[in-house]
Amino acid sequence: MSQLSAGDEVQLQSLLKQLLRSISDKISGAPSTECAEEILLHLEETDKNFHNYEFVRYLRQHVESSLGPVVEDELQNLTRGGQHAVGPGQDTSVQAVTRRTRDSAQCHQMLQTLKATMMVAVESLITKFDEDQLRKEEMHREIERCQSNSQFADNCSDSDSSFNQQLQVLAEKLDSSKPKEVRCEALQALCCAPPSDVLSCESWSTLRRNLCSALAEPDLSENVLQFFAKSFSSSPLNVTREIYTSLAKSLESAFLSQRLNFPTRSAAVDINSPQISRLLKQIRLMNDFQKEVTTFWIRHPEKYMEEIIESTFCLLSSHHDHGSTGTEKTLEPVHLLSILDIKATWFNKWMHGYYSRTVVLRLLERKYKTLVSDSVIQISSCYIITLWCNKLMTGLPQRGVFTRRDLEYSFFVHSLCILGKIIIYTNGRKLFPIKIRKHKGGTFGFLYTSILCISADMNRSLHSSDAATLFLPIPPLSGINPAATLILIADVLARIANTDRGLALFLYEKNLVVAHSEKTFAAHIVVQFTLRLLNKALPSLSESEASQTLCGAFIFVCRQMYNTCEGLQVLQTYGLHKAIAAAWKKVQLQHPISILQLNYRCEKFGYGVMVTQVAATAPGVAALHSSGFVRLLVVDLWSALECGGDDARVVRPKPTPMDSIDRSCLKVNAWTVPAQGTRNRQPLANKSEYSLREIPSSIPDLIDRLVAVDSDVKIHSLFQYEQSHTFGLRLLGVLCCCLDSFLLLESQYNICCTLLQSQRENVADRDATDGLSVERNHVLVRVHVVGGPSERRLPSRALEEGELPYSWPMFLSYPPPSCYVPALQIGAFLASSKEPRGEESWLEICRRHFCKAMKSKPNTLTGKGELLGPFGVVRSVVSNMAFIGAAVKRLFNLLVLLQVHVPQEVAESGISPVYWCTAHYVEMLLKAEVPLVHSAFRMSGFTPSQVCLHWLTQCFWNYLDWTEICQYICTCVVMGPDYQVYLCVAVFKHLEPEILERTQSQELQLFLKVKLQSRSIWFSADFHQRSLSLTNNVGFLNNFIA
Amino acid sequence: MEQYSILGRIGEGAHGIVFQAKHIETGETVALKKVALRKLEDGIPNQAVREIKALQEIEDNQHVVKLKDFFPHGTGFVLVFDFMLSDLSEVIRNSQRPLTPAQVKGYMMMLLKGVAFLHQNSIMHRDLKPANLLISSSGHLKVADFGLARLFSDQGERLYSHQVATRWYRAPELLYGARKYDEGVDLWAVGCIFGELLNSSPLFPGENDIEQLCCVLRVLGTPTRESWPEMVELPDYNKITFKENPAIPLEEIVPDTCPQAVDLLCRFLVYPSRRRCSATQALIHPFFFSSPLPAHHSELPIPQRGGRPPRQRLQAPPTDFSVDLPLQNSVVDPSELRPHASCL
Amino acid sequence: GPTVISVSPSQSWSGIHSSTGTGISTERSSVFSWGYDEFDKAASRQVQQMFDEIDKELYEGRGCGGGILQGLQDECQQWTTRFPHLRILGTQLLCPTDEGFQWYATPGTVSRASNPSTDRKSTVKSQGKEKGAAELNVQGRKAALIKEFNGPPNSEPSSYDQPRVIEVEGVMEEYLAFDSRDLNECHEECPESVRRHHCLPPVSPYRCRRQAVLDLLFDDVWRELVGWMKELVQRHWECCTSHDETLSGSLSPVQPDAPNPFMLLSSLPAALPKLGQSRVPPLTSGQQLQAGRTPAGAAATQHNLNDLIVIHSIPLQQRNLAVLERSQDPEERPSHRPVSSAVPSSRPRPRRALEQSSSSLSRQLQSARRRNPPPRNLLPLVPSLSQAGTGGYLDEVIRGTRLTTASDRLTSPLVALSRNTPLPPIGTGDGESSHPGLLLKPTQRQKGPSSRAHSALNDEAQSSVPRDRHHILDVFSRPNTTHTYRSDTPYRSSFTVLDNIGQGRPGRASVGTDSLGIGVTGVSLGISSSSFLDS
Repeated sequence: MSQLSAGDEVQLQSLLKQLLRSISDKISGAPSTECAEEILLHLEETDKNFHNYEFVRYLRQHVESSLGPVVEDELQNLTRGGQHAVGPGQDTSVQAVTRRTRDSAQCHQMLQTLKATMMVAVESLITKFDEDQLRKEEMHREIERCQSNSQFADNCSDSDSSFNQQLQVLAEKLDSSKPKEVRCEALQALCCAPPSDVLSCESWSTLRRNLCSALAEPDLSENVLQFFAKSFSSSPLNVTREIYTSLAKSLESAFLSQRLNFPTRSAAVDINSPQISRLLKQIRLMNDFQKEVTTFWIRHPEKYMEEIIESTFCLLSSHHDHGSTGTEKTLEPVHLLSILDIKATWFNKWMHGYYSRTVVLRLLERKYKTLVSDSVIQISSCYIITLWCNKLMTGLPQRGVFTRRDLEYSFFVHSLCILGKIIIYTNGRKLFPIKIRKHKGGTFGFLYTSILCISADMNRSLHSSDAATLFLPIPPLSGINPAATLILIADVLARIANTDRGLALFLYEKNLVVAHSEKTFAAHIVVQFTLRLLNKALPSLSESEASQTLCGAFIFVCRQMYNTCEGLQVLQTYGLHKAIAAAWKKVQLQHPISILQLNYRCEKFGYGVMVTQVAATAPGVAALHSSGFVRLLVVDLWSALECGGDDARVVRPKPTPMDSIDRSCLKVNAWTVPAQGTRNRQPLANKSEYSLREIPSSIPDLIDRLVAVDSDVKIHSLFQYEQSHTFGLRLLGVLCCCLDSFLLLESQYNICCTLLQSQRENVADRDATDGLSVERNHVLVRVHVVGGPSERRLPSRALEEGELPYSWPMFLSYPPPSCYVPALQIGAFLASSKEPRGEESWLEICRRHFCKAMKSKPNTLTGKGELLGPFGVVRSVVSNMAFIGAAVKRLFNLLVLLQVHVPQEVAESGISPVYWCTAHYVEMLLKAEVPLVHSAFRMSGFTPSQVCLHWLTQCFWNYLDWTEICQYICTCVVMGPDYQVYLCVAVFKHLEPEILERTQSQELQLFLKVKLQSRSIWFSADFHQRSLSLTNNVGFLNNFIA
Repeated sequence: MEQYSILGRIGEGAHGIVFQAKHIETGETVALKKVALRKLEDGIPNQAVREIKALQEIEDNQHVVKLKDFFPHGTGFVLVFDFMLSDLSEVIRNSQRPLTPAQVKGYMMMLLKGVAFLHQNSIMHRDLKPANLLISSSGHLKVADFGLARLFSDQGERLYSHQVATRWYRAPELLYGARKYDEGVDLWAVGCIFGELLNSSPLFPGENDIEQLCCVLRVLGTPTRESWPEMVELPDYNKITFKENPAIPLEEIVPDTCPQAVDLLCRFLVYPSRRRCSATQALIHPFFFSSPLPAHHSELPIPQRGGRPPRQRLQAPPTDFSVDLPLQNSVVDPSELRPHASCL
Repeated sequence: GPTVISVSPSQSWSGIHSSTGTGISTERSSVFSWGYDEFDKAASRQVQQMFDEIDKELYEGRGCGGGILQGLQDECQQWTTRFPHLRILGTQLLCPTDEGFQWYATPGTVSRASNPSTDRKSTVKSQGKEKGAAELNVQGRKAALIKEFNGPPNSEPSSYDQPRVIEVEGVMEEYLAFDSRDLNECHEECPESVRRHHCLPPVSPYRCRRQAVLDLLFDDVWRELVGWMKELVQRHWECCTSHDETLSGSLSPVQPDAPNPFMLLSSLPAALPKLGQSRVPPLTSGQQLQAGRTPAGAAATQHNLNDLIVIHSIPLQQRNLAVLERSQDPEERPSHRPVSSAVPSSRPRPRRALEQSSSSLSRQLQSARRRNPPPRNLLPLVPSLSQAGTGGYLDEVIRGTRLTTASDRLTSPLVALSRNTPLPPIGTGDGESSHPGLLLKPTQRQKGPSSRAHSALNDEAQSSVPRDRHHILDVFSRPNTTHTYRSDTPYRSSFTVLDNIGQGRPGRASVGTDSLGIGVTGVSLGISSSSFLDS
């Protein structure tokens, strides 16, 4: 291993070089070369990075690999020989081994070969070094020269008067009458003087005049520019303004006097020609300043900004007034500016802030409207040609040489950018319409229209391979990759579709697009195109690498449209979702990623509506489970609860969180609730031991660890027992709002028993009212007592101030104390009837109570006896109280089923009929009637349909009082099932202010599901009015139901 | 302190110098704000207590910077925050990507949530401005710099300094020297920030205090006894008079915005502090629930790591204006134009 | 040691800060660009005290905050009125033990299956059998280095590839050390290229010895190498300096880009001969040198650093040979690269990780990493130290005037030097600490469980006044990589100190006395674990 190959040599050399570079400041800091050597020798002691240098590592490894075995042998010999070193004075084993190794043949050999290799490396480095040195010295001389120049400045600024005198002299020397050499020298001297002094000096006006004239002279302009550039970067404000305006003025006169020809067919503009180069450099300096000036002009008087803007516009709008007949165009400043700053960054910056934008627009309107009209002319002429010309010109472009077309095109893009920026703004649009010959219909909305034209054209022309040329003008300089261009177009389309007006334009405006010589809707074209993309029907595109991205981009455009109710209505026929699904399957075969997980990734960065929509259906929930989505949520929840923040340190006590658990976990809540509904029977783990690294991975796990905390083992497994268990109980409270979930939990895990047991233990242990027992008490009442807000009283969760901090009685076994059940007849009756007596008698009593209740209300309906018929039958079958909810639900589903035929596949899919029949219409109506609530739902990441489903499936049980439930059912039966929809919308309308508020405090779901249960405000007098007023929409709705 | 290694200087405010640093143990990048105490004998100034207490009491809000650590260091102390890549003023000034209405809504919502939380906790910030609204790497906006924050109470007997808030965002009552004021000063600033978000430039860029008042009065109109009854009680009320002028409709001041935005802006920019829309109220304004919906934080510009653009300056920058660079580097490459230009 | 824990609904100053007793953060010198000297330390303490008083005012109510001013009292009252302030103060008896590690000497059997237990509650005590005291056993908790670890950690071949830091489930855990002797035995056939990646610091006596020999050999090679590179260095130096002179006529003493202010000092000993080495640096008398780079031997008085630091040098005295001999002790050598594995300077820590300092092991790595090797051949020049006055032993005197705050970055050599001293002088008391627990420390160390490891040297070292010069060296200036009882080490008060006194390095210490049992104790399992299992 002590051999070194040629490869090692090279490696060693580069490593060595690297080392020297790393420590070069150490070496340079040495007072002498000997010291430098010393430093290197002792580098290990002084450089903490020593052992990180690759070179050192390499070396160490080399030593180890070469000598390691020898050392080991020696060490073994030593041990075998029993030579133990004893005491400090004597030679230690280490030294002995070292010595022997050092003397070994291997060591010598290693050193020899290493030396040979090193010498080669060192040699070649030295050679290289010398070369570098030469180059550096050259640079050095440059710097020195500059520094010697600057001495002038140092000397001069000493005294004002002498400086002024000197400047006077310089100004005179710069006079155009003087010989070039003298002026040149004077200029160089000037460059070294501090600019502010120069401008404040008395001879500035002369100087300025002379500078401007020098700017036009080939030999001097460079120096003048140097001076200007220096002034721009280091001068006070008035100086920069003076310089800028001078520059603009002299440029203007240069263009006017020189009359450069715009290149004709064969000719071209060569930037290296002295004349062009000079002008370009001046414009470039101007342009640089234009872009920079925005960062500071707001802090200065408006006048400053105005002057700069005005002098710029003045320059750009200066024209040679050769008549319209002149075929001979001249080269204008704007042409050169456009090749320097093709995207008009300067203008973009000026238009960015309102502060400068107003001035720009005002000046454009008052004095420089020609600038705008020129741009429009340029665009329209170019655009029309572009659109119909597919011819590609061959010819090798030469760097720095611009043909007529190049210039035209860059001017076109520049104009496009300027116009595009102008028409974005209201005040900018006021500049239009501008009178332009041969252009019908004004310019308003011009760009949008042109983009749409192109998207319409896609269909037709994408068959030809050179079709890409069509899209070129839109995204300037996007290259000739059609896919890339299309992606940009898709981006624009998506943005348009994202707005209400844009969407309406796409969906309903037929005049926008002409495809196949036929007027059509833009939306259809986009969808058709997307379908073809998905089906790989566009070979020219499908091969390209970007084709996936392109598909994605257009699918996104479609999504923007069809995720609205209107859009879906229009685009349904295309079956886009099927195409996407098919495409997905194909992709999935290649990359087995779960769709849902991918969706989750997308939706995580949105409002997350999609996932909740999926979660609203049983197969959706199953999919969420199988995709690991639920697991992810559970783990997220667990880490939020138990693992604390990233910077949690054990030694640093954190302030006790008050309510943050709810907030941090609320989102999780939203999704676990429906997920719970379909859990198959899986017993709780109830392990005898939980390791601290054990993280729950499923909902039952979560219930096991957080809710049913019934053993010491479980308690000890929680880092934050109180907090996490409290959360678990609150989660339980939310889950149990859904009666189905509650039944499932109760039947599988005996939740109530567990809780009661805990309450008993609590009493036995300490008999104290703690947070957890309060929480348990609340849940126990909530799950056991059923009824609307006036039929049950939920205990408070918080302690109160005063004598009795918690006035609600705790109970250790069911039934709960009567204070939780206010004496309401039917409620009390239902609560009391634990044992089903004879069917007849029960039903009789029930009927009697019901009739009584209905009569006591002013707006009682007749004919409820029939209603109670089937209800009673179902009731008599089941003994458990809570099954009534389910029964009513089933009953109601029956009603719905009678009305609407549920398609076979829907029935098979397990989607709730309520969801199928009602939810969609609720959302649709909600958007039209209560748009703010609709938005609120979107923002909180779940859907109105979810809440409706929740309410309707349990027939508003626990949310409405019994009488109101009856009213509701009767309304639906009598008026038709669409009243179910109106009713939901009416509820949302009624709750609007609160929904908005809860949305912002991120507890909308909790509010609608949990907190609403103890509130009786929402089924108030004006409710019926509301729901009846909605009947105006009956016709509208019937269209969909039919 | 040795838990951190300083990476560089971020900025310097009136209340301290801010460094970028790395927590050695976790490798986390943080911002260290070093606040010097002028004289140790004078003890800890109230201001320092306020800053630290305010940060401690509100630490668990998503829209307020989190004080990660705090320790004395020499004759002063150091506050440790999460390192933020950018602030709102940079976002606003970025002309490459002007803010969309949805993004403006998103930022306003986060700002209001932060401010609402402060006010619910009786803390007024007193120096709200875009530069003090930091943007996290996830796009979240966080209220920062509590150097001027303090508790307010409804009792109204407390006197406060009127020398608070950065000029452009200073409420008119402060410009008139009010010593008794309330969280309304923050709401004024919120209005100014809102306007700035809508316009991409400051709403009232006054060059000095007098001009600042002029700027405000020009837009809102000269205050009258009806529009501002409390004005006459303000200390500096009599010291300066302005020529009467009517208000300019805000639609003209923020021309490119939807009516709802103008409506909300109007609710912040009113003279009497009590009449300004509270942050909680503002949050349920229809503006936030109408299309386009507020941008999700992931749809907001995520600042580039390390790419802190230069701050707003008073002076022309010391940039090297390129005179000597070869022109070829500056002009567009004709070969890029050629395929396009060929059609012309 | 006592530690204050405060729990409060609202965070207290001390909730953040003084929970660690006297403060982790403030009293230690900063190695970074913020200057921090005695004056600053004092100021920090004062500020901390003021904050503590404010805390009292906040938590205990009006008037409790001692000397705070009326205005501040009012302010505090406003805050307490608005936000209830509660705290529980107490003494921390148990050291936080999350992620703790513990090392055991192995008196009995070694069970090879000493894979780190994932269960924090189980403590596997492994015992060595026939290999006896030569073996080490690593014990730890929650040190799941790699998920797939089923066998002994050191038989997992995949650890070759990432020798220093191993990622586990998204968190980075540091592999502190393990003895890889068996590994080498098992994988004799391993290609060397794989093996050389393996650069964890060795632990067992055998491995330490091997490493020590290799280190010495490396020194040989390095010395040779520098000789070979002579010309190259010369070129480099010429170029650099000529460049410097012209570009910056007055080069600032501290390179602006020098990342470490210690550069000032760290290069200082470099100019001195390595002990036991034939080379003697040239004594260039009267040479114009920059302050920071003054070779110690230069007989020059130099005014620089704006005359704030005056550097005198005193003619070099010949050391007595014994010292040279002693210092040549190879045991000392490896100590200069105790972490040849070169732990990255800012390694990410596991999420729930403790302070690095809660484990003496990690602390050891850290301190060793951070610290430049001290000038071994110099006496620690701590002003308060009376030995400083025994001029006969002085090689040089550097007198510094503290630079005022403006130039805090220029750490004065004086401070830097004392900072480089790994141990505070015994008996001078811990000037920085007012905490009783801290004062205990040195004594504790002496009273630490005695062990076979005691050598004559150690016994001598226990006396606070060294009898012989080389003992001073041993006690004070040798980098003690295991237990750096720097007064500024956090949690120091929490340990029962266990040390291979005077030797300091767990593995290497044993080189001289092979029967040594080695204990490295961390903060982990029990109360101030004196887990030096001696038998």
